[in-house]
Amino acid sequence: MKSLKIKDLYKSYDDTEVLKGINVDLDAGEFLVLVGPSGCGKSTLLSTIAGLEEINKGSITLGENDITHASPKDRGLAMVFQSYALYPNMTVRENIEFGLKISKYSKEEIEQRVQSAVEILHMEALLDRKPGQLSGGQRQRVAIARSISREPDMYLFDEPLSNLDAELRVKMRAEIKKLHKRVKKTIVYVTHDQVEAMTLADKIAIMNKGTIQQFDSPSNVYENPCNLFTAGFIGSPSMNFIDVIIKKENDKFCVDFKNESGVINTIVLDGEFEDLDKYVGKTVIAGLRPEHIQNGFRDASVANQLQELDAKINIQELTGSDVFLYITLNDTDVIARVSPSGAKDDGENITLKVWAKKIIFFDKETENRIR
Amino acid sequence: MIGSAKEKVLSQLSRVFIYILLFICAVYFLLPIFVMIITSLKDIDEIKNGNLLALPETITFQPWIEAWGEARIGPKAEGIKPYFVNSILITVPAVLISCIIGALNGYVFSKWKFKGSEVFFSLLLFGCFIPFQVVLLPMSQTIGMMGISGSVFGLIFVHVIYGTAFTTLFFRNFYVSIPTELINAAKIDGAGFFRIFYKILLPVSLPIFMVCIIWQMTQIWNEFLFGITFSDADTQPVTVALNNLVNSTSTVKKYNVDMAAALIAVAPTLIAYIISGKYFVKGLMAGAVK
Repeated sequence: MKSLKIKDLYKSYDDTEVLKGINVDLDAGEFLVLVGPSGCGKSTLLSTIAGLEEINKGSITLGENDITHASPKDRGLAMVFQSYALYPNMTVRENIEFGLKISKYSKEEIEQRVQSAVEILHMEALLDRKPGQLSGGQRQRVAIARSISREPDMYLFDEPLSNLDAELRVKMRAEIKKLHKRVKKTIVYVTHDQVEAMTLADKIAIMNKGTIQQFDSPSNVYENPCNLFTAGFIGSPSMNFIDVIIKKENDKFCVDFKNESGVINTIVLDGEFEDLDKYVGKTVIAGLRPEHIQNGFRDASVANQLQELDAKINIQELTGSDVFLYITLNDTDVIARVSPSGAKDDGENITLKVWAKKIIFFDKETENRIR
Repeated sequence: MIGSAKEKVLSQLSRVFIYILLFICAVYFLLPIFVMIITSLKDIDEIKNGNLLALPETITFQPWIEAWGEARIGPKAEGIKPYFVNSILITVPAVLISCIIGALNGYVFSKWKFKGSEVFFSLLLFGCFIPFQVVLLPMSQTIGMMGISGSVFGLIFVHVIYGTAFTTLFFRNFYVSIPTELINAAKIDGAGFFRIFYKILLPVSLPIFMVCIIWQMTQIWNEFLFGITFSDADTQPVTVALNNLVNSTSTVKKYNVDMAAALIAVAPTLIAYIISGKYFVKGLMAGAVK
């Protein structure tokens, strides 16, 4: 188990800066997920950690070792690739043995490591097959077994599940989680799938345009996004963003939500704010997750924090456990996540409850969170 | 219903038309070879009195024996056999060396890109477009300075230089289609430059090797200009010998011997293509469609 520290890492290709000052501080044995839209630099960051890409500035430390300029094989890590990257001309056994033979382990040691790796992933029967004869899920297992056999200090995963079909993806996701519990090694995992990020991670680094927007635990990333990008990226359906004007009445902040029929719902804010005073009378972006607009909250303890909101149902989507209501507030489409009981038809008016404490605000210019 | 029946007839008609066209083309291209073969099996009197397209009345292999071992070419009367051997001595090493260099070059240009490697690659490709005649003089100076002018080594050298541009292009385009993740995985496994090449890339390179070998073999075996310029009397390749045989004016024209000699001269490339033609097409297509 080793900790991973990345300090002020910069990387550019010719004139394009792809990584602009990355800082990561990951404790030993933690599972870090790098998540972000395509082109945000997450895969490049992984490549620099693996040593497949040279960096321009900064340092990478694994445990006590500065590995900034070490060659890939000397970094003590193993990597699983999106396309599995199995050597097509070798059998499963040869694939796993390849790196071990180069490292000049004894025959017995190699045999023992191959055995324990295939046992963990239950694929003893596949040892003599070639990658071409395996299914996608089996190939990914072989790739993981290959990395396990190296007994590395840290695992790197580069979108390992994105080539699998939906059902298999969920299964393999659970298996990777189990694997982490079992080997207790530090893992850096790249994905563009926020569900993978939330379910697997101890720490999430949300990246955009070459910088880490937020580095935090999954629950904090969800509950306390630090800016508009992070707030919109995590969560499905994503957070509602509504332009509102901050008002102050009776020493309390409040905002108006005008619905489609012109009825104005005034919501009194009961969250804690430090800087909201400066924004009184100004337009800001209010962020409100769909599940914080409901027709009835199960948790009775929040009952006194709920305020009423009149709205007209534009359309609704039934997902089984929930119904997504599309309503209009301040001329913006807003999704509310309500329970199917007490359903109404499209076009009808409904009185919803807003958990006012959960409304957060973002500066319209900087898009940063207003605390 | 009527429409579909009509379409069926039309499509069958166009099929027939295509086959007729293909047949005519095949006849057109095969006719010269047919004439060569039947002429090489006739004796000289029959050629003089008979029809060009008529089958031989009596089959004789004498012209082949003469072309191979007895015909007078230059000062000697040993047929084209020694020159055939020269061609083998030139072609085999030149093909192998240029393919190996091309494979390594292609590997570097696709998987170990360095600053300016694209420019370097483009410059190398110029080699594909330089006409032979342009380099005759500087090349003869170069191999003269290297002390290998007039020898088979000189010709091997020239053909390797010329062929490398093509083989590099072929191998580079083939290796580009092989995922770089594979190379990265091997790097993390601890494999170095050469180990990745011969353990990971070479085992999957058979189709492109076939393409390069056939291409290079055809080029070098059939090449005439370098062959006549950079060789001495005893190192001439078979193409030059064939020219000398056919153009010699001292004796009566023996068309049957000429034809037999020409067939012997083209046989190796023809056979190579027939044996490995399917690899050739497969290899050329590989990498074109990802």
